[in-house]
Amino acid sequence: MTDRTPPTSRAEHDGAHRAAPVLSVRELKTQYPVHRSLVGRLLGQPKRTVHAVDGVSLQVDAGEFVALVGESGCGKTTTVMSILGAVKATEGVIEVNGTDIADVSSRDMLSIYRQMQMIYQDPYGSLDPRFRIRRTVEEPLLVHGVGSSKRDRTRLVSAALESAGLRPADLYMDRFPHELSGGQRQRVAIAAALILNPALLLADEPVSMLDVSVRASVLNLLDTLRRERNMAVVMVTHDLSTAGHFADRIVVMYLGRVVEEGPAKEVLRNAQHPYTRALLSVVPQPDPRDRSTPQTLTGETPNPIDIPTGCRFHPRCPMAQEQCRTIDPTLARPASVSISGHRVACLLAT
Amino acid sequence: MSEPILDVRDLNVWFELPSGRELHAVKGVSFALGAGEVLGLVGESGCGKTTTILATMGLLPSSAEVSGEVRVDGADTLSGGEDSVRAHRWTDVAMVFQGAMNCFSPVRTIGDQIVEPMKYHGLAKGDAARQRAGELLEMVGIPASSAQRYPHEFSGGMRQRAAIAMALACDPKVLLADEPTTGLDVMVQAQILELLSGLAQSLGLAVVLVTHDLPVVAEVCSRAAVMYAGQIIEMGAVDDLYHDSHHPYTRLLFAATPSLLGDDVVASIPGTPPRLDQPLTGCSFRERCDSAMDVCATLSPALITVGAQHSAACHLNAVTSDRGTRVALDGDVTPEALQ
Amino acid sequence: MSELDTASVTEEQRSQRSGLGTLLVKHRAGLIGGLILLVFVILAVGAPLFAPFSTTTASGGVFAPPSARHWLGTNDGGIDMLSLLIQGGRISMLVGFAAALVAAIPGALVGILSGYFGGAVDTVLMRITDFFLVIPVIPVMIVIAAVWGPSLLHLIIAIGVLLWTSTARVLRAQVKTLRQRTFVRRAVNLGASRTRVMTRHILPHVAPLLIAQTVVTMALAIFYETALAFLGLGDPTAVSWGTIIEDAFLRTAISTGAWWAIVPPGLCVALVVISAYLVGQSIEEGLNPRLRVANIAPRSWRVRPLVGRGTEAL
Repeated sequence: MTDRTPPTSRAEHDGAHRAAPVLSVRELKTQYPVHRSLVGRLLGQPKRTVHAVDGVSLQVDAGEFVALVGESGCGKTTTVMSILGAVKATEGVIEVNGTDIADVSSRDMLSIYRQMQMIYQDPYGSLDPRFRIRRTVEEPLLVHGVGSSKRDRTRLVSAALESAGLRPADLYMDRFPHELSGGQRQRVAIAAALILNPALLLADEPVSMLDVSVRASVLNLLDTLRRERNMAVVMVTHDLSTAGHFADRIVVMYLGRVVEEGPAKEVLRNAQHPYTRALLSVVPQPDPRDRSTPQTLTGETPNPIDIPTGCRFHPRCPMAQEQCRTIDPTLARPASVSISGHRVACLLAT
Repeated sequence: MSEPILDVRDLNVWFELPSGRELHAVKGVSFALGAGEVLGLVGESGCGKTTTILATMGLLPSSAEVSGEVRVDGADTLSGGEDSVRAHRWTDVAMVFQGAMNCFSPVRTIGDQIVEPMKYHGLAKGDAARQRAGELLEMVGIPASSAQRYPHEFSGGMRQRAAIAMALACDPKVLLADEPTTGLDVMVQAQILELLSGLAQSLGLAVVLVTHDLPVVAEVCSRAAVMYAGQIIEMGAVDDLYHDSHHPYTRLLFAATPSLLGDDVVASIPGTPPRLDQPLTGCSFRERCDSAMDVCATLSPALITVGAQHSAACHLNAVTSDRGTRVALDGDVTPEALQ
Repeated sequence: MSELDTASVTEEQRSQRSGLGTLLVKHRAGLIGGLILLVFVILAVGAPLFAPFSTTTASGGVFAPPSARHWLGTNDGGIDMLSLLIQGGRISMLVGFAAALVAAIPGALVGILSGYFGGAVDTVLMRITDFFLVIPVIPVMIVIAAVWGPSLLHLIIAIGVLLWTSTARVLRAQVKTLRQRTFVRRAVNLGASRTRVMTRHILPHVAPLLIAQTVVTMALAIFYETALAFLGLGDPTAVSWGTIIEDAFLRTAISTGAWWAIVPPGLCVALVVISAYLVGQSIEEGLNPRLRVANIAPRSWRVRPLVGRGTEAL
């Protein structure tokens, strides 16, 4: 794993002819109205909305591993939920393998789901405690009508479990979730997600609830599988270090928008956006000699209901200028960067 | 070191299981810290770190049995059972629990809840108590006027600070913080850690920081103890633990923790920790260790000194150690001997 | 998983694995209730075998008091009370059981659909439930029985149709919680149809609660059957606890002082109702998600004397 061949992904070959992206999200906006009580409504309280996702664009090619990072409330989970269709997007286009999911009738959604699967943060809650492992992993087959007979399905389940590192599969098939460790349960979830060979895998903090000693093996598994199957992976995480080690690209979100994106190592070593820089400076390092001056920002992240005008980061930005208060920057290539694919939404960097 | 403020010696905790068996959750844990020191207690889930500090405060359920010595500023708190601990709880040793941001009752103001321990322990009441509550809030970085607010009006990070303020209400000498930053964003985490080390310095508070997050320990602790399967397997300066580890688990744990910019392969440790409800022969880490020897299967390694203020429990050290000062877990364990 | 669960790790394992049986055993009250119910069911099923005397022909004197031969005496027709009681239990339990089943169907349907869909569906179904909830049970049952004619079937339906509401509400609450659990969301997100999610994932998890509710409904149904029979609206050809009381009442058992003709049936109904409640309640208690907080209960841990310090010797 030390010598990684550079992925032939979009990030490296800007402008070259490439296959259609597996996932294409354009100007996605997902908003929720803030609930007003009847009294509030009668009293004429203004309607307020939570702008959880406020204009996010994302493209992921086959075989690419993208990490969606940010603090809580930045909209990364809502973005993924919108892609999955679990949450209704308010505006914007979401295309999976070229098909706009907003156009798809609920009956045809089944074929979309087949191409797109998700693994969840909680290894303890994401498996039905009453189902044996075999049944959990078999369920996608039953839902999508794959597998001609029980024996056929068992063979597929077995293969899925083994490719998820649970060998020999027979040892796990008839167990219940509570008999397995957190890492093993997450592998079961991966097996169940991958049994249909989806083109896109969404992962919401897949290892944050696992022990440190187990995390790398699960992430390595994801990495291996996506290379073998040329599968696109979008992983939501708050852990920048993990993102740097496993992802091809990092997309940094703040208050519903993408503020910086680019090749993983590049973003970490050469961050252009003040928010990314501040974030990186406060990540604690395992080496006690690795002391960087933490740049703690004032205050806390404002909630997505009252988004500041202009650049949404300007109230907390240590480098904010007059123009930042009025102009809302868009993603563009930073002036001082030569690596293609690295874009930042900051007036001062571009 | 000078007289330790908190001195835990040979702490053992057993839990009675419904099946009738016993779970030996904490096995002979000893550590000491002085005023102003921040000691990290690191380990993964199930290693016994939370049980250890709960035992230090006598906050264990009826199925628990404890043995060992806990001395707070010289006073023996544990041997008399609940009665001896109660006198010191909160006034000498206070705790910030895991998920402390949710420890507040939603129907009372933050100020009232900070005042409560003061009233209960008879330290202050009425206006004096409210005044002190305001001071405590300021000390943790919250404006004193917020005391009249309710918990739901505070953000997660602010509630965590308020929980720290509540822990400091009776001016304790020792603060036990159990995963104080888990679940908080990285920015807020940095602020809370800064706060804790600041308090240790300014108040001379002895802080035990329990966490599974090694980088957090590297950030604020000068010394740390690594726990595995109920035992401390290595203890020393954090710098030593990282650059000169003497236990495979410590080494592997650091290897499994990715650094932000490093290119090293992130390791993982195969297998799972041993069951603590069954008797164990030999080293508890043997099955997952990459350097296990024959002796590891039969003999359990004792914590021996391997450097200045640095001890580890691994047979590999007995082979290479030139100090050879054996400090048996069931012998006299004093802070001096561990140095 | 928080380390605070060290002591309750096995508790968690056990509760996840336990079926109905284990839950009942854990609560002694539930166990006793269950046993009593079981006794009644056995007696009801094998009534002809257990009844010492005939229930149609006289075997003793009129209103004969309890004796060694007739444990509970005889009624005004000289028929053995004990035999009547056992025979009556059959009908009472049957009506109770059947009515509870009838009530379980709308109860489960409304509860699950309401809890799963929420929104407009929930509102509409809950308003319907409220409507049925406020209907005074006995008067309506009287009207139904009077208008429709007294027969066991009518009785069962009438009772069942009015008793499903509490089941619906209780199930709705649990389904709402379940709906948010990760494994349910996962099933939805992998494309499972709503029917599939409801039948394969939700229903098995609410089944124990449904059973608990049905048991309690059964008790209520028996009570109502007894009441209606007593009021003369039961099936005149069938012997049930209610008709026994009715008969005794009409045939001057009270003035004669023949308590043995009135009290035992009432006691039986009371016993069955209490037992059913005990069983139902203990199942529900067992299913309550325990708060996963460390059991911080000072005063209760113990100090182990330092005799041979427990760790492995060198």
